This record gives sequence, C-alpha cells and structure tokens, in this order.
Amino acid sequence: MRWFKPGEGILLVLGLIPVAIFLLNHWPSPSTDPVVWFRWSGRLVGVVGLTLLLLAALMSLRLPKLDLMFGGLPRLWRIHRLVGFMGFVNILLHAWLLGFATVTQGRTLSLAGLFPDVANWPIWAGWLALALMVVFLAPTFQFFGRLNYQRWKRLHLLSAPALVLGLIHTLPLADQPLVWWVLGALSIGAIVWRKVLSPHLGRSAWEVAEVRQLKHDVVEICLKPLGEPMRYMAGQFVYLTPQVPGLSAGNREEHPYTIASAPSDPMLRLGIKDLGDASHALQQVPPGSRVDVEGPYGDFYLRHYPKRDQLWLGGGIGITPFVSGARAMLDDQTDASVHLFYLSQDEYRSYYLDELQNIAVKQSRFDITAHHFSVQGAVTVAFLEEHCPDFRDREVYLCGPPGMMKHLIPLLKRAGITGNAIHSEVFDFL
Amino acid sequence: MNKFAYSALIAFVSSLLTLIAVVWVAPTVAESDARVREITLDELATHNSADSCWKEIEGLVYDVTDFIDRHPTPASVMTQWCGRPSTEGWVDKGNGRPHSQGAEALLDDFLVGYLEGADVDLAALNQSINEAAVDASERTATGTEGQGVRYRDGSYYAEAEPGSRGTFGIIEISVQGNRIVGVYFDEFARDEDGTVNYRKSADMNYAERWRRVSGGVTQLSTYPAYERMLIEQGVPEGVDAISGATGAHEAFVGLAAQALSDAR
Repeated sequence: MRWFKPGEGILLVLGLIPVAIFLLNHWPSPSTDPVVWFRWSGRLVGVVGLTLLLLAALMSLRLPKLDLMFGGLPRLWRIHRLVGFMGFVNILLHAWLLGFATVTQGRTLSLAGLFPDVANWPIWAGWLALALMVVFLAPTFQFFGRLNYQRWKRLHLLSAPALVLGLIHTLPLADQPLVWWVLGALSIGAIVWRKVLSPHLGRSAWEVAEVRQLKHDVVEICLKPLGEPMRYMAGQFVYLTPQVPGLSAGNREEHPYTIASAPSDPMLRLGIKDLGDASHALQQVPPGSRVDVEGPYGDFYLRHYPKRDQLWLGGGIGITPFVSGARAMLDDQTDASVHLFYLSQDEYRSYYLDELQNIAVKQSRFDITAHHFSVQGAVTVAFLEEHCPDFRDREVYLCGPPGMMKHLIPLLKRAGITGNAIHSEVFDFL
Repeated sequence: MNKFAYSALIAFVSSLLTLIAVVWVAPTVAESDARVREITLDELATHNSADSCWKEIEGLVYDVTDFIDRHPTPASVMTQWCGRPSTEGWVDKGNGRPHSQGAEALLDDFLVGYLEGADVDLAALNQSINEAAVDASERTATGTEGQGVRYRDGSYYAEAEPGSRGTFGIIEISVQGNRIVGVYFDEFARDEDGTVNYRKSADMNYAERWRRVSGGVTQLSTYPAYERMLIEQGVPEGVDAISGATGAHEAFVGLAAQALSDAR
C-alpha cells in the first residue's frame, strides 16, 4: 500500500476510540421522531469534530524520524490541514444540527438550546472555541488578502486556547470523560513540545563555516556541527534558525532549507535561493555565525524501492535534494541507476550543473541531461524518451517550481506512468 | 479544502441567522393546555427515557426531555431519574448541594402536572401557569390574531339577569386554535317550570313592532350581524353598533366579554 503510511493507521485507531465510545453509549434506538435523529447525529459529529481537531493538534508534533511514519513532514502537514478543516466543518455541523433540532419538534421554536442561560457555561465555552477557530482560520479564507506566513503562525497559536475551550465544552457533557482527558493531554502536550520545549531541546548548534556563492541569487551554506553531527538521508531538509543579531531579516526565525550534502559529508550543506526576506539575508551571513538546526525531516526520496531505476526531474532551487542524492551516489553501493533531467530557464540559472556533470563522469549509474527552457521550449515526452528511453519503467521524483510541476505531472501520467510511482515534494505551508 | 470550509462557515452563519429571524418573527404556537393536571405514578413511569423524560420533584411533575442536552452533566446523570420521583436528585446534586435558584426558575417552564395525592396549591399553580402563558402570548401574538388576546379552545356561555319582562340574553362562543369560530346570541324567556318557551329571534311580532320604531332594522338581521362581527374581529371591542339596534349592541358586547373572560 503505497498511499497508506503506518502513522495514519495509529491516528485512525486513536480517532476511532472516542467515536466508538459514543456509539456504544448511544446506539440509536429506532425512532421516527426527527428530533431524536438531529440530536443524535448532532452529538456524533461533535464527537467526530473534536476528535479530528485533537488529532490535528497531535500532528503539529515535529520530531525527526517520527515524520517518516507519515511519509515525511510535508505530507504530515497536508494531513494536518485536511484533518483540521474536516474537524472545523464537523463542529459547524454539530452546532447546526443541535440548533435546528428544535425546529423539527414542531412545538415551540427556540434558541434556548443554542444560546442558553449564562449558567450553562459549557455551551458558551463551545461557542467561544468556535469563534477562536474562525479568527485563526480567517487568514486561510484570505479575508485580509494573501497571508503572511510568520503572522499566520502566531495567529494559529489561538488553536491552543480553542482546544482547551473545546475540552471545557465537552468534558462536563461527556459520558466517558477519560478518553477526552487522554487525547486532550496528548494534543496539548504536542503543542507545548512544539512551541515551548522544542526550540530549546529539539535544536542543535552549528557554525557557518563557509558561504559559497553559486550564482548571484543562490548560495550554499556549509555548517560545522558544534555538538553531535546529524544523521540524515539524501533529499531531507532541516529548519534553520539563525542566531545572528546583525542579520537584516529573519534572525531567530525558523525556515526550512533542503540539504545538498551527501550523508557522509562531515559538513552540512544547504542550498539557499534568495526567495524572501529571510533567505535574502542568509546570502550575506558571515562565516563564524551561530545557527540552530532542527531536523532532519522529509521522506522525499528515501530509497523505498532500491531495486527500481529512478528518474529525477529537478528545476530551479528544487535541484538541491538531487544534488544531495548525486553526491551520495559517489559512495553508495546499490545497483539502481538514476537519470536526472535538470530543467532550467537557461544555462545561467543552472546551479550545481558542473558538479553534477562531473559526478556523471565518475559514476556510471548516474546520467544527467540538462534542458534549457529558453532554448528548447517546454519538456516533451519525446525529449524524455530520446535521452532516457526506459523512463516509463522508473520510479519518478520531482522537485521544482509550481509551474514545472503543473506541466510535468500530467505529462508523465499521459506517458503512462501511474500516480503511485510519481513522488514530489511541495514546500507549501511549512 | 479551505474554500470548502469557508463555504461551510458562510452556510452555517446564514442558516443560523435565518433561524434567529424565524424565532423572532413567528408567533409562538399557543400553549395547548395551560392547566396543570393530575398525573399518576403509572403515567409518570411511562416517561422513563431520554426520548420522553418526566420527573416528580416535590409533588410536581416536569417534562424535562428538552433540557437533557442542555444540562451541564453527562446525560446519564439526568436520565437515571426519568419516570420516577426525583426530589432526592434535585435537592442533592451528588455533592450534597441543592440546585440553584436559576435552575429552579428554569424548571417552572417544564411543569406538566402534579402527582396524584400530592399536597399542592392547585389554584395558585394554575394562576401562575396562566400568567406565564399570557406573558408568552403578549410577547409574540400579532395584531391579526385577536389583537394580543389568547383564547383557549372550548365553548363559552354567559347568561344575563332576566329583565322586567322576564327575558334574558344568552351567548355561546366557540374557540378553536385561538380564534372565535362560532357565536350564538339571543334572548330567551322561561316558564314557571324553567323550560325555555320564548326565543326573541323567532318572535316576528316583536320584529314588526321594532321595525316601526327603528324605521327598518330588527333583531332578525342585527343579531347575526353582531355574531359575524365578533367572529371577524376576535374581540367584543371590535363589534360596532348598528344604528337602531344600540340596546342589543350593549347587551351583546357585555355578554360576549363575560363569556370570553372564561376563555382567557
């Protein structure tokens, strides 16, 4: 099962516990009265909603290796987002069903169930939790234009009080409060680790040893461990937090960067393109600076299928994980061969190209084809076929700008490669 | 996904606003029977589930079904008392403390009756529950529905004192669904045995005499006219006097008010 990861199984089991407890306590008795069904399903979706939100909080836990159980951190984040939104929609449905239950009574229309006396504080705690959720989700609805990532991260912290209020709403009303205590403690614990403990305990100290200018807007930063070196696999990434007070932007802000070095390299090398304020500032980071590193994360091309030959398609700064992979191939012993297509606008915007071509000379199982969009136009199936005739039989890894992905993924599928064999990593929302 | 969640939020807020608007605008459905009644232990015991949960507390019986969801404990804390005397659970919430005054005020809304043999002040109970019903109707009834007046279903009868000629006016009014649906007004006389031997509406000699005095109008058309006006207007004050029949108008309105006072 390529699409199902063990971590998801654990979450599924965790999530089914409160739902099962609810169903055991409230197995619906046959009734033709719609009120009964509105109330029953209203409570059920409430249980489902809170469970999903607690699981989403649990998934904010960021621990090296743990993310591999979910197919890497970017995939874990995608699930977190999906589960969080589903939880939110279930909570809306919960309030809706309970609010409209009185309508189906055909007796007195009443808002008392939704807006009771203040003495009925658990209900109001629920409303407050929902209001907080709307506030911190507002940027994702783009109420205020495009969202600013750092501000969004701070605002998203409101999810912690929202969860606590959700638990306050639920605990007095629950049949078996214990399950909520346990799930709640796990979820709040995950948030506390992520936001309070991990910045101190989860990071290691490194020193900038060298900054290599690859092009005018791309550098490779070489880091020397001040403590234990890090064990990682090709294609993974780390969160880098500069501790450089003189930096023009992004000091003490964490951002994800892909590792370009081979796992055997004593130095940790990161390929960094000038794409925003923080990465712009890093282009000028002075050697000797202190930085904190958290990681490694990601499962991009962990060798899940070591027997199969591989097709790599990299573009822009998305070439970095493949640089790490190619460097690692110089000393690995597997017999799978790799063909890398390096897609770029023109020769000037091909970083690491010389080094990659050198590796191809030394390592016979590694081939590289450079493709320049400005000269050759968009990549076609014929182009792939010409340089790599068996590309359809390979495991495909893609990394690059959104436009490239949008063009290549449908093209590969049309060429007959199944979606399962196509792996891509999108740094969206990290 | 975020577009979907956003649409769900908009739909949620819109339907909630609609619900609030509907509750605000629509009149509350009339209390069908605003009078407490006697309930036996057997009847109480049939309402023993979360789908219909009645409880006896200090002699009175309450239907608390609608409150189970709103009660700030697990439902089982409440439902364990359904269908049985529950004073114990009321005066001791499990921690030795009784329910609050706020809870007591809420409880009144769910009153359905009193337990058979309980020592309760019925008159006071009925009065308070009727006051509550009138309060509710004053808040919500609209002008077209009896101008703020609520009538209970039933037929109401009033009779005037016999006049100098021995005749007396009577009225019967039928109410259904808060509306006056039927009115009968007439003047009768009785013989020495008490048997009704005279109906003014059928007295053509009287009509002829009246016609000469009034120049046309008689009881033949005015009585049905007053009856119809009361049905249309819903309140005695809405019945206008017909020229030439003001004495009958006065008698009609007085009797109608008397009969309807029982209906409120």
